[in-house]
Amino acid sequence: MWVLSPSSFLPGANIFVVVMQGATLLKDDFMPINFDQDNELGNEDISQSAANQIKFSGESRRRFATSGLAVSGIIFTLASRPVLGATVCTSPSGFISGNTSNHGDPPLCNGRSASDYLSSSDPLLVMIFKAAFPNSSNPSYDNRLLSSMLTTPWEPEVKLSLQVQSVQVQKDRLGAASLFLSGSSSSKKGSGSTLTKSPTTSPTTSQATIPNPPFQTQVLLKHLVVAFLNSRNGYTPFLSEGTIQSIFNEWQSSGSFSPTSGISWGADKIIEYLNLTQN
Amino acid sequence: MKWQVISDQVINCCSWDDELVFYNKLSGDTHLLGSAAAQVLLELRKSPSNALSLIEALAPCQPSEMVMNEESYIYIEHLLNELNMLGLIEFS
Repeated sequence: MWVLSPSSFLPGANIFVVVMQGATLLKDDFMPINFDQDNELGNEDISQSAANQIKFSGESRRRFATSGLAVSGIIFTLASRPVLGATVCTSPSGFISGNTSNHGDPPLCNGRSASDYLSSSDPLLVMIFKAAFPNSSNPSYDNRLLSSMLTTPWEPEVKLSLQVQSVQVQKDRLGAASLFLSGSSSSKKGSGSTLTKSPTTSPTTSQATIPNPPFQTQVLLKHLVVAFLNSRNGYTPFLSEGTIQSIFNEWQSSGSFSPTSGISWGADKIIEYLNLTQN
Repeated sequence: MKWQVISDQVINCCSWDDELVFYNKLSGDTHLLGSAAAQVLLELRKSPSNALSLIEALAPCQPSEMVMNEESYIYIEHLLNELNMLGLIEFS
């Protein structure tokens, strides 16, 4: 039987015991358990209560009972949520050293998450990525709005381009070049002039989908954008805008970031650190 | 256009018979996948592939109703899009 650690939740929270061994688990088998104010279990005994809910099928294999094609597809997703007290409030080098001591007042540590910004009307969200990270040199996201980078995978972006048909250049009898852009026109100069006509031209538009970078890159950039927004808004003074831009610049040029001498962070480690600075 | 598993994804998973519990270390989410989704992921780990190739590769492992037809193709396409939305696979 799997039981989630009670210390991971706030008092008064509900958790669900998921019984997985030797039973057929149905939706009705999810049993809420309440914690009291001291984060201790109530008088209910997990084992006995859970046992009362088990419907033994006689099968030895673990199986989740669903219906139709859902059985062979994606059955269940447990979304990740940060546990209380797990927010990191140190610079990258401080994160490595594990130094949690503070002199004077504790650092302000109010890093918001991507979902917080998505539900806000922060004016910074209409910036394009290159404005926040001036050294960026990737056309697949340089001109993306910060707001469009907060949900992964990104929605595809369409680039529109306006094209004008080629123009017709003619030389009339007098040797001058005439330039016609649209419609027809005529020129008369004395009796020897040539009546000229140009074909009708019109501008055309074409569109192309800008390819998105790999998913891991999208996740990394999302966290960098959130870190930038947090820094600009003053929520995370321990992580300056310059440091965030340095992280991006170094990753862009070398694929990794070195928070301190001898240490190298790949994209996954950078994501892990930035994720921990956000509530 | 072919699909592939996202690089650097460590397949932290456990399997029970035809179901797979998979931890996505990029998103932090944990997924319980059924047989078809698990097999699609394992096939894509071997090499990038499109929906038609996946149906061919998975046909021997599937029940008789999972044959090469339009319904199977639509199902696999839908499954691939779902796996993409969860950040488990991407276009190669």
